[in-house]
Amino acid sequence: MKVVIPHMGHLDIACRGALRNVGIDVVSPPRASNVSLKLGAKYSPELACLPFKINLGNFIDAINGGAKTIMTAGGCGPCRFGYYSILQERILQDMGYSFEMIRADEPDKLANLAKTLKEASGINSKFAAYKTVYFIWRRAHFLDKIIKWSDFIRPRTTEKGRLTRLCDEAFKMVDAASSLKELRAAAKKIKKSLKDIRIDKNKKPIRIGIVGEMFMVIEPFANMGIERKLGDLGAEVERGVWLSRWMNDRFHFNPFQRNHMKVAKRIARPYLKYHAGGESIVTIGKTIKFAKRGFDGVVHIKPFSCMPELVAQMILTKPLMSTLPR
Amino acid sequence: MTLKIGIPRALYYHKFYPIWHTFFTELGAEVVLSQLSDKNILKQGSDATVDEFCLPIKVFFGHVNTLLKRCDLLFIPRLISTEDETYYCPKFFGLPDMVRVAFNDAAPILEPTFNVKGEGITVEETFVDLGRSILKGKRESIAAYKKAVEKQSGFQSMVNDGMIPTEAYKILFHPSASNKLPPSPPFNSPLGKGGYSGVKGGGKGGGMKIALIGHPYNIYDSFVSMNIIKKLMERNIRLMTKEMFSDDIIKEEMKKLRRPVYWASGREIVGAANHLLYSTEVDGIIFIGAFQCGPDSLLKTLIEKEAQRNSRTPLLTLSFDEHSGEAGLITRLEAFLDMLAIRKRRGIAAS
Repeated sequence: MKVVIPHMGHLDIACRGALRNVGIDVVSPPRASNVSLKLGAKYSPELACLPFKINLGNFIDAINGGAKTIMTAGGCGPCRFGYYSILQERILQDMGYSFEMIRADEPDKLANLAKTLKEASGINSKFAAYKTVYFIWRRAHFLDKIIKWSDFIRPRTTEKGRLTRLCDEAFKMVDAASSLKELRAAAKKIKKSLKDIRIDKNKKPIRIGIVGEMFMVIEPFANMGIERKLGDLGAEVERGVWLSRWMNDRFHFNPFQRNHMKVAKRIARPYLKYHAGGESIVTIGKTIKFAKRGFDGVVHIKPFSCMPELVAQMILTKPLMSTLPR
Repeated sequence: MTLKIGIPRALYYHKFYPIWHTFFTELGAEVVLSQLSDKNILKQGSDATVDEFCLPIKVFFGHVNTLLKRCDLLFIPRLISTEDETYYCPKFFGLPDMVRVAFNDAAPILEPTFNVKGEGITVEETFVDLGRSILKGKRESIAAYKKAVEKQSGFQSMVNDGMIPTEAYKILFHPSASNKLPPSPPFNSPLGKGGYSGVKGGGKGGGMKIALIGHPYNIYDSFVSMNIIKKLMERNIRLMTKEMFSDDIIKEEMKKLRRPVYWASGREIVGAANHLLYSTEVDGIIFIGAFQCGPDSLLKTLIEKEAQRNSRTPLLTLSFDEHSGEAGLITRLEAFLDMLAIRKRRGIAAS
């Protein structure tokens, strides 16, 4: 069965190799572009947030390209994301497309993901479903690592073009790996090739943290490749949000990895007592953390009118002023 | 000396004031309300917040600003969920925190967390907690809560009978309202029980029934909605709002959707609108949304999609922000009413 997963960073790469094992063929829609964004915006509610429009553009592109099945996540609120898929389905139907939508409801619960997977692929074994989700996480984790390394190398090297090329190759290698063993082998190769890049170890680049809404931070089209751009300009960038970290905070695949959500909650508590959906509390917690670690600046990315991030934005002005060492 | 608790006359004041007011007065505290919204309040609110916020939140901050020096404690509940299946808008989750950021000199804030869905704490437990934070015992709090719930359900039944909530508030809280607050703008209608409020017959658009659908804090705040209730009532139109629907109708409508709406008032908005679109109960529906309101942006489309199918009832969607001009509203309203009148005449001629 062929399914389409909307672009969100490297989510499609992470899923493809894992879902291949259970007989689901993941097709990436054409990389989001201004054309598809315009198309998505045309049919979206005018004041819906940006991820909605980019997603819808992806879906239209994919269906025009012959896709029949769309796989996306539902949610349970309070943010608008939870209602995306319902409205998108309705909009696409009204446009006259025929397709099927597989919705993973409440994707922050492992059991729900496994259940959706079982229904979609027709596999019987619960164990296989959990294993697939675990493998998705492992892949996402490794992809995140590649980005982390490149964020470290980029400001310190003059071979920026080569680094970009190597990263693209690395993504392809991960994409091709369809078992843990192959993934490990790919990891070894990638590490070796990245070590090959000459870096200036004595350089102390300025450090910038990136926080904000998950989609906007990890999807390069939405944030106009801010990570790479800042890196090219000579700044070391550190993300506050990672796809794999989001998964591990909820599914605890690696029980020894820090639960960043909990840590952020603790740090942010004096300023925001309750998690207001989205990444609001992580935004605040991470910003404070970055400030304490002596970062030179923080970039907060959010789609226009995003409700949770707006709360964070409003509150951020205060903790920053009292914790920034000046 | 009695404890003065300030309640901003904004957001869910328009829905839960009876329960809050009764609870505090039963416990011997004095409730201080802010005045009616006006231009000044909005301006102060806009200055205190990030400009991306929606109109009702800005108005809320303006109200908080007027209360800062007038009370001992500010009451700003953290409304997360008060029912099993719904949430409030995420902006409510951080409301007390945002107030603390916006006003450094804010009075201490009473911030009970209502979270039924997430943590399974019942509303009663939250109120007991709230009572404890103003140094009242559990038994006292429970007794006060029971009375408060009674008052709220009394209010609800008044509304279910067809009374506009602002009118009901006036009747319920008139004694305290008359000596402390400037009178709210008068409605020209006597209130009839067992029907929608308004005068019967006569005038342009007489006898027409129109439903006003939207968040309570947009519709019932006469400044935010530019007095739309009064404007319609002056034209002898009988009004209906989403609060007048029983929960059963809304549940029924939710079942028809692929997935029930999970916002507390959004659920009622979509339920009421979808129900009315296919019934002959009203002649027209006016959907009122605030610019930049997150849930509204999706719900509006959901309702419009439903209206485009083959609904019977015409729909007008209005969206408000701080720059809205009253003339624009009147033009749209009159055009809509004319259209309804023509439709009604033709309908009668055809049958």
